[in-house]
Amino acid sequence: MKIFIYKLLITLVAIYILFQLTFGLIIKEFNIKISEITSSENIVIIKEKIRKEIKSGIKKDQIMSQEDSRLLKEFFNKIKNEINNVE
Amino acid sequence: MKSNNFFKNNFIYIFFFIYFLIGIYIIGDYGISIDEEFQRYSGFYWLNYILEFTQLEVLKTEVLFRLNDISGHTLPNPENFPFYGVTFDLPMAFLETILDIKDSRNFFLLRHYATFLIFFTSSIFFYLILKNRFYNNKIIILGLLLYITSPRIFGDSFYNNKDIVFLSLVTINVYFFFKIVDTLNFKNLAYLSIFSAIACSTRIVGIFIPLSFLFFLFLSKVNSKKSLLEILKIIIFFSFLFFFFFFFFWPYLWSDPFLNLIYSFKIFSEYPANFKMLFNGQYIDSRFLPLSYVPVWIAITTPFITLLLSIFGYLLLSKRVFVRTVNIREQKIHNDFWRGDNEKKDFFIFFNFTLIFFYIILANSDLYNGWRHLYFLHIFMIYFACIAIYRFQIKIISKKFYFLILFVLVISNFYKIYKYHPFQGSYFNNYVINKKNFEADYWGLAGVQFISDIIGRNPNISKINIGVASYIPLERSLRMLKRNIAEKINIIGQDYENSDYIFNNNTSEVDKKKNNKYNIPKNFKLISEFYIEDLIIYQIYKKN
Repeated sequence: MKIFIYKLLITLVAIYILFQLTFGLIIKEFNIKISEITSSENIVIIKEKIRKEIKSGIKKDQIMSQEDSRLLKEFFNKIKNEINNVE
Repeated sequence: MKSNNFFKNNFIYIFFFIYFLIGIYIIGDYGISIDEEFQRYSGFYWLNYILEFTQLEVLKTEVLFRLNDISGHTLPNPENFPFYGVTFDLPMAFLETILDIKDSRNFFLLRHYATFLIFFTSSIFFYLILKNRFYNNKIIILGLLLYITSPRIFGDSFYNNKDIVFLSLVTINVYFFFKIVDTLNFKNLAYLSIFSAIACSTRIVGIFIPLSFLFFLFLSKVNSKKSLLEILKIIIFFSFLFFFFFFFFWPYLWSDPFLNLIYSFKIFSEYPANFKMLFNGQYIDSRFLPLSYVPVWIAITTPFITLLLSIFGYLLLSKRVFVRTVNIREQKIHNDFWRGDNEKKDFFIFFNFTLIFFYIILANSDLYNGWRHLYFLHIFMIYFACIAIYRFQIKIISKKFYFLILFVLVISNFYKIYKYHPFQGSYFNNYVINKKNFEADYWGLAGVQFISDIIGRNPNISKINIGVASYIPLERSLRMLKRNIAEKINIIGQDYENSDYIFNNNTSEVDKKKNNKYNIPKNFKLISEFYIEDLIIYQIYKKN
């Protein structure tokens, strides 16, 4: 009985360590990634990137291709019509 | 001959007397750590709470006045952080009131004196632990020196009223556990239950002391002839006293013992704030520490000789525990894990250290500010070092030479203490290649020296605006300065535009590589750096 209890305790500890060193580490890595993406520093970087892209876009003669411009025009017109037709 | 005998017989008293005098002499050199103002606030908050139950009107008025006098835009309200133990802060608030201390510098000096006295007392208990276990005077003195002269512990023993107080309490508890191993009587049980209750109400992690005591009772029972009734009597007596004092020393539990206790446990493993900190050149999240965080911090901030001896001692004990474990049989004359009282004491130290150290690493507990939250492991590490010294001296023929080398190596710690003074709390050993990769002054001790430096450079200016390129609330350092000096300084945080000088101590709660919160503007010039060896403690920038 005594040896059984000791073995049980040692096995439980071993399982805990194994879990933490395998799944525990994977979960931690995942959490680190999520936290990095949602961090305030990252949001600032993304904002800066958008600003930079807009600025460089303004400098170009044409931002979109003819096909995309036509597509967006049709899309906006459709939305405009739907808004105007609301009772 | 007679005087030689006197010195020999009274060596330990002389040792402690000199240590005490040195401590008292240098205590005024230390600055203020960023947590002390909050701890003082917390002490008064809970003293006021307790006084609500009494009729002491004069004391109540005075305490309320002092409580309302504490303010600061960066200072958290204890009402929102009630889970901190107040076994140190509350008596300090009481003493401050009774002694009618008015000067802000003295508020904190009182706390510094008390912290040093507690650590000093713990060093006496550690001496008694070693005397109880090793019998050899040279090992006892070496162990004691290792315990006292580890630079980070030495420095923090003057102002860290959280971690050093807890380390001291753990040491006292280990002493009483050893006493119980020698003589299991109700007097020793009462002492252990009271001191473990104080430790636990100081830091909830102290729960490991009563739990491991009960676990050892169970392990002892397996091979002992004591009846179940006797064991039950011990458990009931110990548990009753423990819980009584545990609730008594922790007013936070009085309103809702069960829920508040659960909440405290939750806070211990998951602190309700997250921030970045510099570790090994990278800014890491305090919630997701790498597995190497604690081992690396211990390895780079512990003197090499202590580290080496501790590792050897731990390995020697690991080997013994492994051999005992594989040799466990159903029927045995000896206990399964030890062959006598000394081995039982060693196993207690080994078991607790292993459990705590690996649990903290594996369970991903929230830690920050290096490994200061785990300073209580220091006593276990020094105990391992003593085991190594003891075991090696058995095998070495030239014992005199062996001890001489050890003494020389340990005494080199004094040089580091002298060199780093009063910043021993930022000590790194010589094996750290780039100290810039780690935060050094994370507790803002440098603030007082920085402000004094600025005042020294501008003795005739009536107002100086100071910006802070660090998370340190520098305005708290003003409390350690004379009022007429403090009034000259205006701390304006990150309002660099209106700053005359900027303070930088390389600590940040945001990733400095991505966030420009603490970037020094280009119109500021580095005019001075204070460094020890190659470690920069703080920098002064001045507007061009």
